[in-house]
Amino acid sequence: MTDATGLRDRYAVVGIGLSRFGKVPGTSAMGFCLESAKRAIEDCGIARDEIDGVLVLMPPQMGEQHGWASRVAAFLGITPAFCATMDM
Amino acid sequence: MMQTAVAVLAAGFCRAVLCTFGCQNNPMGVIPQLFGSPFAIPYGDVGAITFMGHLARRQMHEHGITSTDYGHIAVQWRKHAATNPDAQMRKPMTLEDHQNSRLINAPLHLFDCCLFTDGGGAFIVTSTERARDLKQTPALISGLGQVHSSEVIRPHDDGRGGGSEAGERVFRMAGCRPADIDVAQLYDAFTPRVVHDLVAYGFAAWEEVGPLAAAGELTVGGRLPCNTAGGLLSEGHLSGMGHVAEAVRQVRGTSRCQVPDAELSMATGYGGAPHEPPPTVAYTAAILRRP
Repeated sequence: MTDATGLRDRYAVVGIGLSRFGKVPGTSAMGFCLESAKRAIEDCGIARDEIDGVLVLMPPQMGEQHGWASRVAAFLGITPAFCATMDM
Repeated sequence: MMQTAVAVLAAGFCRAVLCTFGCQNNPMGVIPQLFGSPFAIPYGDVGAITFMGHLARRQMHEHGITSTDYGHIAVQWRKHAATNPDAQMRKPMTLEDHQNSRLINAPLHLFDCCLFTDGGGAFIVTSTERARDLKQTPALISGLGQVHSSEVIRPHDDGRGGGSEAGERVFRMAGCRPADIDVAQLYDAFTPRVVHDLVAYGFAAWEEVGPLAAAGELTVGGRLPCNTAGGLLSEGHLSGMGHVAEAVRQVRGTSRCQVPDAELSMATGYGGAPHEPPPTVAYTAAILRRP
């Protein structure tokens, strides 16, 4: 049996951010990623260059696109040590 | 996604991980990729709505769940959405409105179905130690669990339906039981999913779900307040980012539909590719705790 209890309460969600949402024409999927990311960063007050990992969830509508997480990081002006684009 | 962030942090690869998502539905179209298996498409069995119609039929046939049970859930969520100025659907809705809404795919009515949402969400995960110096009350990640299965073709037979292993894992890691959870954001792309999660995660038995929803036990003051920002059904569908944000707000005590003294706040997710052979579905769950 696997056991992850050693990780209990060792990490925390410190910042959250939702972009404008609903029927919102004129902003791309990337634009919404950036808008919500900026709000999450402001929410917790972490220095942007302290973020060294970026995970991005791809909506199924996007199909498969290369390097989506790295592109989000590049637009945010950070240079992560770890990036991954996920499909769920 | 949260589990991946924690794994990357625990491995020592990173100090702080940003998780984000964004989606624009236009001009890509409503169902840009008409996904479906070659065995199902000829019968019009395409996409999530028909799949969830099957799920609802099965719940009704095997467990006596009714459309009215689904309606009580949708109505309750709508009441929660009324407290959320950002929610897409805030107009009051009655059970009658739900029952009279047009059939999209029998037995599912319009108001059994979630919304299409342009938008995005993000959250940041770091160590609990680092979190102490940041602005907000941290939401400690107590438990995480997921399971990926092919239950669509290989029926799950533990009596609780698919996903129960994700529940066992999340509660084992968090060291608590379903009855300890103060508030939950359940993945509610369609109302039958809420019924499913209540049972699969051990919150209720099949026959209890309808009465719980009808008696107002799924709101503040009840047995398990759920989807307090309105859920995917009424707030909007940001692929679960709204659920994470609201689960965190409940821990911080800043929700507009706050559960007093909420300490354990849970969020569930669901996804997969049930129409691509081999059909699979995934269940995910997180339990957050107030420090």
